[in-house]
Amino acid sequence: MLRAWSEKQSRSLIGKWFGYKSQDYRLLFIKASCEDGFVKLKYILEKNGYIESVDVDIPENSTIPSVVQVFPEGAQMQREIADTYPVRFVSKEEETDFEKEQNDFLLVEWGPFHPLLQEPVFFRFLAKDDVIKKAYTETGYNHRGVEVLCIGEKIPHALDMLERISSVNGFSVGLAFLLAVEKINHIIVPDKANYLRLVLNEMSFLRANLYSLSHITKCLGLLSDNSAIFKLISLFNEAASLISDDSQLKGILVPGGVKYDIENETLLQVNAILQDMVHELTSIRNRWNSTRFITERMSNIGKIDKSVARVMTGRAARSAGIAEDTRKLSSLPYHVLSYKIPVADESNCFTRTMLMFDDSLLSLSLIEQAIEIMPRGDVNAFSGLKHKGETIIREPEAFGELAICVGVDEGIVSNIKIRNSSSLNFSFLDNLMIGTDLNELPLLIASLDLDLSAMEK
Amino acid sequence: MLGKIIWFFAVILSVPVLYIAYNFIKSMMPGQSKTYILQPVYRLLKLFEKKDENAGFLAYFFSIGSCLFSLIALYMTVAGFNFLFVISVLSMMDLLVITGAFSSGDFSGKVSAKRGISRFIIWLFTSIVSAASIYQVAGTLKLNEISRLSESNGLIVNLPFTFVSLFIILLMKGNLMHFNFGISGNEQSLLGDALNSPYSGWSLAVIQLAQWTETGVWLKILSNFIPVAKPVSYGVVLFVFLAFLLLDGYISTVEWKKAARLSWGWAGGLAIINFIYLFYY
Amino acid sequence: MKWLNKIRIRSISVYIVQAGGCRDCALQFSMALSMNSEKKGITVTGNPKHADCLLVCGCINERSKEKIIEIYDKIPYPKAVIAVGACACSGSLFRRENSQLYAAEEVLPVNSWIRGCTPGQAEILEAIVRAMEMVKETD
Repeated sequence: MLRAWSEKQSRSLIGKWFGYKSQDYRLLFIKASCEDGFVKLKYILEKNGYIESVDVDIPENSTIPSVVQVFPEGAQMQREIADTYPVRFVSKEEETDFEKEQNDFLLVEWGPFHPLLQEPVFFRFLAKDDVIKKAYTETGYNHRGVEVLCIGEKIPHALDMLERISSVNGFSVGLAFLLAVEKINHIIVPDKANYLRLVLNEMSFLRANLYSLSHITKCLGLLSDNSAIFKLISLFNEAASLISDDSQLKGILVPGGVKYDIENETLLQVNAILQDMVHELTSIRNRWNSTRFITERMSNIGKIDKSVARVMTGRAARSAGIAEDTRKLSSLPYHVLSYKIPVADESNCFTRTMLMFDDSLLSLSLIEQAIEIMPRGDVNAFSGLKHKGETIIREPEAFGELAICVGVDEGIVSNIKIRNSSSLNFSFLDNLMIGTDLNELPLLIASLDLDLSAMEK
Repeated sequence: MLGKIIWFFAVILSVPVLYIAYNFIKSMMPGQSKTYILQPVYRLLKLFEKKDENAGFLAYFFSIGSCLFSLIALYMTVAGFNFLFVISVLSMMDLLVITGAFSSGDFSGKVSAKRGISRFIIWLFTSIVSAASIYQVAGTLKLNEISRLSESNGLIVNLPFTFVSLFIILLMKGNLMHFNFGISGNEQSLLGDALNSPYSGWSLAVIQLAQWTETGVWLKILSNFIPVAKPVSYGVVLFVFLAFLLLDGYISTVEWKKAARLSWGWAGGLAIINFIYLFYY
Repeated sequence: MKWLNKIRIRSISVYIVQAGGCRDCALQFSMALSMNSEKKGITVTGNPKHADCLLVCGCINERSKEKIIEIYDKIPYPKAVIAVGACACSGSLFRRENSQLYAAEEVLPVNSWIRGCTPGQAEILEAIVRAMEMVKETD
């Protein structure tokens, strides 16, 4: 049986959240653990780099107010906790009774596996005249329990798992984890290793963006451009094969730097191959920009309000004019490179897609700049993992901001919590889909860059 | 009689050949699946081999029914029957396919049945208006007469828009360009071959045959308007259709309601313009 | 009827299931399809009723297991199941006691396994064709 919190307790918790919200704090992530019959929830909030937390202990099988009413970006994280721990979150909004409303609307089920879905996710819609009136999303088809599996593991083993968390953002997650480990153990990474990491990180962004674009072309039914993007992906694979056997760039990162040195000549070759993409990317971008059918069709779907975009991350936020620079958060030497974050005026499918092109071009420019000023020297300065501690690291990933909380005890992972960009953006998907035509759904989902494998872990 | 039989089989065979050519050219594009030259035929033969235990009686009923009607329509076309007879048999075929999709009971069946009806109304309207225009010019609706008259008198001079609107019906049937209703043909659509959703195994193969035959019927009807010898005119229409199939890869799909609007405008609109022009000027 | 057997493996529709993985196996497969490989005639379908072959990528969890079995039942005979990548073959790094993850063979009758993280592109296509050949022979 469920035990509910008293009215007073609930109000006090909501009051605390509102207090932080009014000071412009954002919900970074929610940590949860279960001990002695109690579920311990820790709401970690952030504002300009300052971290605050709200702790709540509730008995197992109780209900607690939903954080969504104050921080809507927490919906997916909360859903994940409700799936894992014996606790239920209640909000004032009533759940949709799909069975009851089936008479008035057409019940549409889509997923969890379909060639136009990048990852498994199951949708149920109530549609009228092909326009979605209500939507319900079911996730969890991707869950592997990576966070739990990492606990008690040695760093290299945990790194192996984290690099395989997602094919497009695995490198960034692995890198963020290592940066946290190095911070706790006071390891100073040599300059060259930092630059190499930067180049590899940007390459992983480029790869992710190219895959996103190939997906968009598929949704638009543009075979010719799909072929062009595939050519670019082959180019990327050719460049990546000069560095590693694996196009995901797994296995290069090690604590203290990178596993092996990459010669400057090789890097120049890599750069030469990658820069070939610039022309093709620009020409596709310009063509789309001047094709009325594409601009009209895409501009009308997936519109995100600026107030909502403010709490989102990545292209969803940047296309609404919020110049969120996630690279600034990084401890990699991004500050020495010159770049301008691409932004747009209104967040819709079209502007987000245009930003995919811009972001790819930006990554190419950053790779070129970093290779030009690549320092010489060692690439590894590993000095042992003896310290104990916990830290929160915020790093860029291809689709937005990645936050990771790592606890390490003498080379053993004691605690890890990952929150990728999709955990934030996914929370708004249900609302975004309302009013969209069924046909446009793949396009809307593709333009949001959801990386569910890193979200569900 | 022999001529008609030869034409009948020639049209049936020409459409797979068309798709073979299309597949072959498409497989040369990077990023697309590599296919054998005879891929569409292999697919058909494979489908006849498959056993589907879940398929009910209705799936076979609708598929065989629609295939039968399409074959009748084809025979009527090559034998030079009345244009309106052909249209009515094709309507029966389309209605069977739509009912089959709706009878599946799942969402994609229902949604595609709705789109199918919308497409059905547009092409039926266009055909009827076109028939009136053709009658006004040729004084007959018999296809063999029309063919003879186009060769000798160049009917197309008076029926340019009617010809275009009939060609657009062909594009609608093939789900091409901006006249794509998002049903069948495209394996990667959200509805995923929705029109065929109750069908699998050999009932799917029969439906596939029916659709090929239907395409053949329209190609043959259109070829009657080209003012050259019959085989040449059929070849010309085949070639133009292949060009549009390939061009489709360069043009983004549109939302189906917009496709319906565009189809009304281009197919229905042009047919009416031609009709008004013929009657009042 | 040897010629008929040959024809059957020249058109293979594949239904891909990405069950709880990093999805690189599926990306590798889509790259493999577009490469200049000798293996031809393999296409992707979104409708299990039109498929001949089920490609399972990633570790299968409780939730995806049910859906995968549902899809498998919809595929008409003769059909083949192929486990792609270390995760689907054995659970890879993620499989432990009580982790509630399944290897593909515990859920479905697997015809062919492609090991490796990430498996090679040519191997995936080769395995699909071989598996279909085998299925036809035993059917």
